Amino acid sequence: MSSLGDTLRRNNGDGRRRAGISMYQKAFAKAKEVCRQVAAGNLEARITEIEEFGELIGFLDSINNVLDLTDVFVRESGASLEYASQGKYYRPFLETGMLGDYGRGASLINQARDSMQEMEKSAASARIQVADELEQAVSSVVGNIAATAEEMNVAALEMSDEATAAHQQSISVAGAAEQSNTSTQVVAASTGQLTASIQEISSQIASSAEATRRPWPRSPRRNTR
Amino acid sequence: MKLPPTNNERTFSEDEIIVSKTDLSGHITYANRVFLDVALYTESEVLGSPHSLVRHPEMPRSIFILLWDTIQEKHEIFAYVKNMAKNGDFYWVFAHVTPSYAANGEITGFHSNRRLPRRDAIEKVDSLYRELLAEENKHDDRKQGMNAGYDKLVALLKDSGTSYDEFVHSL
Repeated sequence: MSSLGDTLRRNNGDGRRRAGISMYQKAFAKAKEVCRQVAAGNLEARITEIEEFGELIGFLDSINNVLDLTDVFVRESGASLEYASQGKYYRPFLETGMLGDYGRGASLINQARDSMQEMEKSAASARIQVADELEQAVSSVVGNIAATAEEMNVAALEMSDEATAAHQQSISVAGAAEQSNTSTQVVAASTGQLTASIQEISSQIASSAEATRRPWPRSPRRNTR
Repeated sequence: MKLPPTNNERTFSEDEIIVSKTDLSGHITYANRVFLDVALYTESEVLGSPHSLVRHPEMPRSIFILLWDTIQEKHEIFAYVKNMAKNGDFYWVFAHVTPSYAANGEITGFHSNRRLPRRDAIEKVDSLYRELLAEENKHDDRKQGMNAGYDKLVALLKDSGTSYDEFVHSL
């Protein structure tokens, strides 16, 4: 036979159990909703207002912790590769706090960044080499043209000398020689310009790798003083 | 009611990351367990509070202008920050702040991951921040001081021929 006290205690116990079940239901509903959002691609979602969940706080914290680490991994991989793709290799994947598989993934991404930087360097030096070789080739052609022009000039002068003997022919031949001389000078000047253009192109190629840095300063609110 | 700063340093493990999120106006919408444990606040104390809750008076305000301007432009920023716990103790963090986006690409708030900084980096930053703070405190007008500190930072970076991003990652 139960006393009134027993009944009250039993009822209180039921009340606590009911409150406990309700707390679990609420906590799991929150967790489920956040997991649903994250699975749908919203990595911003977190379980908040968890103080009331007593013994379940640790469980909810653990879910948030997993989401935080995953979030860090996504942000870091995206940002470090975005910077690298712009030629900015100073911004690594920060490996601090990245444990186990997260850390291995981070380290792989940093290795990939290093390789990209190496490839960019060797590509730049290959471009410079090509430009140098082109410049050399053109220079030698220019040299040959200049030498030929000089020979033509000499030949023309000789013809001019010979023409002096035959007075009637000398005037027309000397005119032709003069024209020939002018033409060779034009050729030499044009080839000189070509050489300068090629030097300009090769120096632009050399500096292109440096051109991606963000200039300083950049803040628009600086003029509000 | 904020307590005055103390000279006691708090710290956290290298394996831990302090995480918080704010809305567009800088009010906290999420703080992880590491944040609460290091800053000595409860979740209900931080939710809805401005992030300046953990601001330490020795932080140059010019660093926060830079930070705010950068994230408004949808760029990430890294900064070494000296923060203050509820009891006035300080803790150093290497903060990474990024905008958070809605599905339509609009900024909905800001996200910050804070890692344990290296000791030697803290020493370098500490002396830089003292210099900036001294510059800011030369001016009676708060805003003038803030701008003077910012100009000083820009001048120092210019002299060393580096951008802020490169500088902060080189420490």
